[in-house]
Amino acid sequence: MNMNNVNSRIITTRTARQWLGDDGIGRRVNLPNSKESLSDAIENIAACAELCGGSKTLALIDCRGMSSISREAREYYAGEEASKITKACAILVDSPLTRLIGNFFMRVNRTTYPIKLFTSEKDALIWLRGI
Amino acid sequence: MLIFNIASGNYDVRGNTSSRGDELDAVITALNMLIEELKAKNELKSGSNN
Repeated sequence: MNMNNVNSRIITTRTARQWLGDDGIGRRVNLPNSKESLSDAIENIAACAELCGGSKTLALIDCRGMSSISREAREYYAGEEASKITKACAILVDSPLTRLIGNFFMRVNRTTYPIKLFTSEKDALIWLRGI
Repeated sequence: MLIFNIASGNYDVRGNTSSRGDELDAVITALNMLIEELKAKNELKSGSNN
């Protein structure tokens, strides 16, 4: 993902790198072959809340490096804590595996915020800016 | 085999994926995620019956 427009410090957790762009959109990039557990989800949401000052933010999540995510982590990302700081979420996917994970999350873990899968960062940003 | 374990109600097994992220990894991951959902729902059902 493009890291030219960083407008905050970058927080790196066990599974992801996160920052706030100068367009006000929060970015999270999963590290290669990351396997997300509940503790990772809690850590990532806490990092996101810190970056956006606890307010609702548009989020661009690059899952292309993710290799798995636990049920508990998916529930947390769709739950109350994530909903408090997420206005809408665009998820970047590429491989059959990441497409599957994204679709599974969208269909099984119903979020209260709008969410959509993309293979293009440009299209994802256009969608987010239209929210 | 993973599918036989699911069919017989053994939800403690998981399939192994590679780092390729290809169609086969997607199928195995889908089955693993399905097992997690079935296990959680089964535990919830067992809890409500006690």
